[in-house]
Amino acid sequence: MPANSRKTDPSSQPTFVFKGTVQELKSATMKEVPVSARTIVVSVDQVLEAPKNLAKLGGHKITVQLSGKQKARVGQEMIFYTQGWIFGHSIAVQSINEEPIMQSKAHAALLSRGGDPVAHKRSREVSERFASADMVVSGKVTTIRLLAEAIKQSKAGTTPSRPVSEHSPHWREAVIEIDEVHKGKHTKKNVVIRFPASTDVRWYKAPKFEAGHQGYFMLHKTPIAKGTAARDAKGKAAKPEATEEVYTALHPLDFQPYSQQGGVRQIIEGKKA
Amino acid sequence: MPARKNHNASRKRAPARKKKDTARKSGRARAKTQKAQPVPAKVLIVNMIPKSLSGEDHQDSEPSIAVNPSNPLQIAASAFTPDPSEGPRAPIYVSTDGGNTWTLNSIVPSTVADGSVTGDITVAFGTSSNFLYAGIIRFPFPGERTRLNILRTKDFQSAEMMKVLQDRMGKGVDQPYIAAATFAAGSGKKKDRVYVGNNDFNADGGRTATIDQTLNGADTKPGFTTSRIESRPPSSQDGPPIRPAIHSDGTVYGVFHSWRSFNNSSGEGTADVVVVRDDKGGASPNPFTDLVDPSDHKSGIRVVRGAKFNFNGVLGLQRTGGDVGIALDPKNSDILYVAYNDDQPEGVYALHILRSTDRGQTWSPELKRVNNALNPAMAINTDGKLGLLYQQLAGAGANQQWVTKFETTTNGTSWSALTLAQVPANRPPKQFDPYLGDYEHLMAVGKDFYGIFSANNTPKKTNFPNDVVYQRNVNWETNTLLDIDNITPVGISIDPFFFKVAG
Repeated sequence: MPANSRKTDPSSQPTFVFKGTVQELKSATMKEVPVSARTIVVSVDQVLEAPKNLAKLGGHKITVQLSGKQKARVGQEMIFYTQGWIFGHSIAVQSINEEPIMQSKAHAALLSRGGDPVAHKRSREVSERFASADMVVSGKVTTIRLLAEAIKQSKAGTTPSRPVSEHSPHWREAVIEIDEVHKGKHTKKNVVIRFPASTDVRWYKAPKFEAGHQGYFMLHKTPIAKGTAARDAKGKAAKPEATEEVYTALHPLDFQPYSQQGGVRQIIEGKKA
Repeated sequence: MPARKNHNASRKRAPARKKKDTARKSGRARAKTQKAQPVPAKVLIVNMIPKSLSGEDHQDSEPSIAVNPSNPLQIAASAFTPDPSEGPRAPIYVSTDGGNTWTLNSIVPSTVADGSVTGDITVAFGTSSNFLYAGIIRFPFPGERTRLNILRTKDFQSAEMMKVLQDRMGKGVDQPYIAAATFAAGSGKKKDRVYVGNNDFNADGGRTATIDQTLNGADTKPGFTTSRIESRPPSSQDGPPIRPAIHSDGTVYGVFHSWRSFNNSSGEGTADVVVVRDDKGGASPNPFTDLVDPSDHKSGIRVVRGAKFNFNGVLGLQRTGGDVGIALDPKNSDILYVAYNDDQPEGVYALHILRSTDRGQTWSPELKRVNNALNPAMAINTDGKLGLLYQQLAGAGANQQWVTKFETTTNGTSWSALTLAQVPANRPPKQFDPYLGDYEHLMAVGKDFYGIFSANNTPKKTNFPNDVVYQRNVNWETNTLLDIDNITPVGISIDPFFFKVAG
C-alpha cells in the first residue's frame, strides 16, 4: 500500500458503530470472552455504520468491552464506536469510545440519518481515500501497456530478472487522458498509473484497468522497486534495489466509474459547490 | 442471539433419531438393523465459520492448523480470512473444545487499507510451552517486496495482538511455513525450537530455500538465525515450498523444491526434490548439512531429480507449480515420508509418496501415486501410522469435483481411505488465487490426526459422505446457506473445514 495511505492511522478508527442499550454488566454473550469489569452485554438497537458482515446485528445481544472512558449502567442507551474482537456463536467487540445518548445535534443527526450502514462506512472510507490521495483526476484509460522492463526482459530471454513468486504483482501501466484534476497539481494531459494485473490474494482487490474505463481516479504516490538490476550475472543480489515513485490506485475504492453515483463524485461536487 | 429455527445439522441429534426409530422395532429386527449399520466412522468434520458470521461469502482458502500437544482441546487455525469487522488486525480461528466449535480472534497484525487480512500464514504450538507461533507475510509491503513476520502469543484467546519476533523485508519472501517443538532432551531441553521454512529472495546466488530458526522461541527476545539450505546453484532461485519437520530428539529435516531450470516466459521448469537434515536441531556450526548426497558430496539428498513443473499451471481453478510435503515418525527420527508433485504427460499433475527408513539417506520406490491431486499434507501418529491428506480433481466437465481425501497406511503398501468432501470443482467462481490454497495441513497428536482443508461450502449431505457439522446457519433440505437472520439465502463460497480422525 502507498506510504500516503498511512497518513491517518486507521487502526484507531471504529469500523462498527451502533446505538445499543446496556443489558448486563460484567457479563458476556459467549463463554470464549474473558469477562471483566469492562465487558458488558448490549442489545443492538440501531446499526449506524458497519461492514457487511456486521450490518444485520440489529436486535441481537452482543458483548462490548468498554474503552474505560465511560461507566455504564443497565438500561443506559449509548452509541458505541467499536472494532471487532471475537466472532463465534455471538460477537464481542472492543469499544474505542462510547457516548451516552444526549440531546445533541450530532447524536440526533447520527440517529436520524437512516440509510444503509454499509454505505455509510463506505462513504467515510471514500473520504479517507480522497484525503490521503496525492492527486485525484477524472478521465479515460486510453492505453494499457507492459512496463518497459518487462518488454526488455521478454526480448532478452527467458531467465527471470526478478524473483519469481506467486505474489508478484505483474505490473501494468494505464495511461489516463485527463478530463479534470480535482486534487493536486498536474499540467500534462495524461498521467500514467501503475496497477497489478495479478489475481493473487495480495492484489486481486486492486482495480484492473482496461482501455475505455472512464471515471474518477484517486492516485497515491507509491515507492516501487526499479529496474532489472536485482541480480548480477552470477545471480548475486549485489546492491540494494533502487526505488521509484509511481502513481497507483491500489485500493478498490480508488477508482469510481462515472456511471456510479455518490462516493468521490459527491465529494468533488460538494467541494465545487 | 435470539432463538431462531435451526436448520443446522447436528451430529448429536442424528444418532438420537436413529435410536428412536430403532426402538420401535422388535428385538430381532433391531438386531438385524444394528448388524447392518456401518461401523461409525471415527471422524469429525466441522465447517469452521461461526454462526455469527453466517452471511460471510469470502474465499477462505489456504488453511493451516496447530493443535496444542499439551492440551489437544486447544486448536488454532488460519486461512485467508479477513477480520469480519474490517479492523486493523487479521483473525485466527480458535477452538478450545477439541475442534467441535470455532471462533475467530483478530490478533494478527494487518491493516485496514489492505483488507484486514494477511498474506500466507501458518501456525504452530510449542510441544509443552503453550506458546502459539505464526509465520506470516505481513501486509502492507511495497511492490513485490513481501514482508516476513514471525509472531508469538502466550494466550491465543486474549485480545492482545501477537508479538512480532522477527520482521524482515529486503527483497521479499514467500510461503513462510512454521514448525515448532519443545525439545525433550539435549542442550535445548524444554526450550521451544521454532523453524520457518521460507523462500527468501535476499539470498545470494539464487539459493533462496531458507529456514529461519530460533533455539529458544519462548525467550523474551528470541534471536533468529537464517540458514540457506540450498547447497547447489539453482537456475535462478528455488521454488516456494520449503517445509521443516521436527523430532523431539533434536533431529530437524527440511524438504524443498530446488529449481534446476526455469523458463520465465512459459513458467515451465524442472526441479529436484531435496531433503536436508540437522542432527542438532539446527544448532550445528553448518546447519542442515548432515545429509550428504554421495554422488556430488553436497548437502541435501536429491530424492527426486528433474521433476517437471509449470509455475503458470492450473488444476481446475487451483494454481499449481510443484508441491512438497514431509512427515516424520515421532517414535523414530530415522523414518520419514516425502510427498511431491510433478507434471506428467497429457496434462496430469501427479502426487507421489516416498519413504526413507535410514534418516533420509536412501529412498523407497514410489509408494503411492495419485493423479491430478495436490496440496499433500502428511503426519505420522505414535503408532507409526502415516496420514495423508490431499485434494484431487475428479471427473470431467460440469460434473468435475474437488475430492478431499484422507488416507492412512502403516506399511506404505496398504492404504485405507476416507472421503472428507466431494464438491463441485467450478463453483463458486474464483475470487483470487489460490482457489483452495497453495497448501493445507495435517498433524498428529498421540494416535489422533487433526487436519484442515478448504472447500466449496454448499450444505449438502452427499458432499460430505462422512457427515459434517455446520456452525453457520444452513437449510439442509434446500441445500442453502442462510444469513444471520436464518432466512436470507447466502451465496456459496470456499470455507475452511476442520477434521479429526481418531487413531
